[in-house]
Amino acid sequence: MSAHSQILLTSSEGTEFIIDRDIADKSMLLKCMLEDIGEIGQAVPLPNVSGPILTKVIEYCTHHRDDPNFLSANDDVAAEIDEWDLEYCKVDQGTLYELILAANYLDIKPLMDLTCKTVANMIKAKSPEEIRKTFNITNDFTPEEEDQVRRENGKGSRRLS
Amino acid sequence: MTGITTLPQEIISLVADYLDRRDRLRLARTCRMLYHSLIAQLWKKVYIQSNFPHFDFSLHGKRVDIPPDRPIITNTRLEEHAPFVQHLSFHGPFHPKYYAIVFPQLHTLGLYLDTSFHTPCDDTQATFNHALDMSMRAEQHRRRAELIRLNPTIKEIRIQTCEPQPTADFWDAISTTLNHPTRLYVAGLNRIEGETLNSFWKACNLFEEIYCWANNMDFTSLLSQLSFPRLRRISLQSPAKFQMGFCTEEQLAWFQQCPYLTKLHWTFDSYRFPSNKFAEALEQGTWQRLEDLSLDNLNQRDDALAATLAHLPALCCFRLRSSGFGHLTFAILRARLFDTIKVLDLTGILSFTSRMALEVLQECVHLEDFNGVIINAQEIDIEQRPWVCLGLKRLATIIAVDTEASSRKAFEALSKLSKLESLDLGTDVLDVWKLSDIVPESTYHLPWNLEHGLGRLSTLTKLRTVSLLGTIQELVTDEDVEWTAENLPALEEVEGRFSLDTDRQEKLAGILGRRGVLYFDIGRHRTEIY
Repeated sequence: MSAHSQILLTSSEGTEFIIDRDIADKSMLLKCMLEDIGEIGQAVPLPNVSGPILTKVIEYCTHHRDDPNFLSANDDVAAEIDEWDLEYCKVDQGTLYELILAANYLDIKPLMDLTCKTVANMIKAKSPEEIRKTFNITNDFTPEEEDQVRRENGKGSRRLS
Repeated sequence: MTGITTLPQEIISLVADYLDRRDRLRLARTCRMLYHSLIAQLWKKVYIQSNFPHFDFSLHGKRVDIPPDRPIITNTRLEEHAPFVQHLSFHGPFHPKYYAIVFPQLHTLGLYLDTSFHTPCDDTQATFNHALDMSMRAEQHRRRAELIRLNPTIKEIRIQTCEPQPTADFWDAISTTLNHPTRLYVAGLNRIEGETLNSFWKACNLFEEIYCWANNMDFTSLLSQLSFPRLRRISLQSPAKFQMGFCTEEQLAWFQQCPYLTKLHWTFDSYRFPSNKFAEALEQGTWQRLEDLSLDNLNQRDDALAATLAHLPALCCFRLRSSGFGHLTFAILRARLFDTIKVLDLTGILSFTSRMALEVLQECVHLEDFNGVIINAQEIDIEQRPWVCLGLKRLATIIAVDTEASSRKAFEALSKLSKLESLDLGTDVLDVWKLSDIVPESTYHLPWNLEHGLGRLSTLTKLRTVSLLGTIQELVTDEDVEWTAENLPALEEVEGRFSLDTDRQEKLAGILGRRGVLYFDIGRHRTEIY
């Protein structure tokens, strides 16, 4: 198998993308698929991923193309996100969620970790009301429920370590 | 637009994995959907601690009304969320209602009674004498046996026993209820005998792995018909102060009934170590699958030690603490272990010389983790005698240097270890007093300086932790620390003082801090637990 062979992908709208095999291999889904069925020369359809999102995913895989620690890169929960990755994640929330879903579907663990960590960082150290504002969440608890949830898990509670 | 609430539940869980408990709770409070996504995660691990006053003394006809200073989870709430609980730890005595709950997914159960903390000590209530406390604890053991009976899914159980020791009923609950459990941690066993001991052994017989911290464990009535076919890993230790009466010979008899052991970590009373019998067991190949052996306090003379270890199997991991170690024993290690050894830990053996350490680095191809004592940099000769352990991930040794040239040799040799993740050049784990018998104190310290060759280490792209604890690094300059922060891409932690001057020390620490490197000037506790 040549390392320089190319793979054809089609996004949900039918746009075609030609990428190098080693870029495709960053996705465990594509890697396994290509190993199982070989390169049949036909386009691989990705009905769950839109063109703009696929472009973004390919950008990520290309940047980390020669990264020897690719698979273990974001394993450490506490580790800082590197500058390029940080910049990469400066997108609107909708795009960020679609990236998470695409990374999940394509099985690209480092991208999955990066995007989840980015969302987590948007939540950290905020009050519930601030979180609602940040994510445009509607509070659908009834006042009684809210009261109960607050009492159970509320401020100052050290019931659970 | 895709909003956070439209993400699948498992993805919300993944995001929440990056949050601490408080942030998760706040997120759960924002709306119903997130609350339900997160509730399972919030209750997956439950650790509850009771302050003594929470214990309901009405059981014993007494009651204390000291207000709780720490709220605890009520038994009703615990019961409501029981389906989510996978890890549960009880610290302290609890009301029987807590022990009557079924947790359908329970994997790990911890049962602790800290006798110092949970002994009634309220001055105004002198009514609680020792006898009552003992009866309370016995009651707790009984109730906890009931909890085990209700929860057959338990795979791992951690028990801290206390006086009075749990009765046979407690151990029977384990052996009759649990289905293929994996790990048993037990601490605090003390002189159990008769029926209780028999039941204890039957319970042990189920597990693959046992960690036992025994005070005065009497092994004499080990059930001879048991063969422990599932048992793979044993760690057995006794705190030094309780060594009297700790019967090593009977312990050995137990191990000999465990033919499939892969791991044996054994801390014992060296005066009673049955060295001949242990040597025989090794010679007879009693543990064909043994990979990981750790022996503490094996303080025999070199010739006797070599005879004891003469038939060591081809281990991956070997750890020894011994004051008698010498050339004869080293020859045994060379003959038996050098081809296979991955983890070699000889910390604290002052008679393990620099030449021996270098020989290990030059011969053991598979070595990944090495705790030696000292390397004299001037004896390093990687041109003629290259280090072959290129997969080495962790190295702990003092490097003694006398000249700038020998520092350069040391950095040159270290630079070849490109897989290195942890480098510990600190002296704190050793008795520096004794060390000064071997080498002059002034030479303990490899100077962490570019001038001495530090720059060679830029090849260590995986190096995550560096320890210089106990070494004197007064030569370190700003440039050296900046280089460290800049050129070791994986660096996360540095331990040790760069300077005795507080201001200067803070300045250098700040350089690391700005690069996101954690810094500990007096080191973190390195106590091993289990």
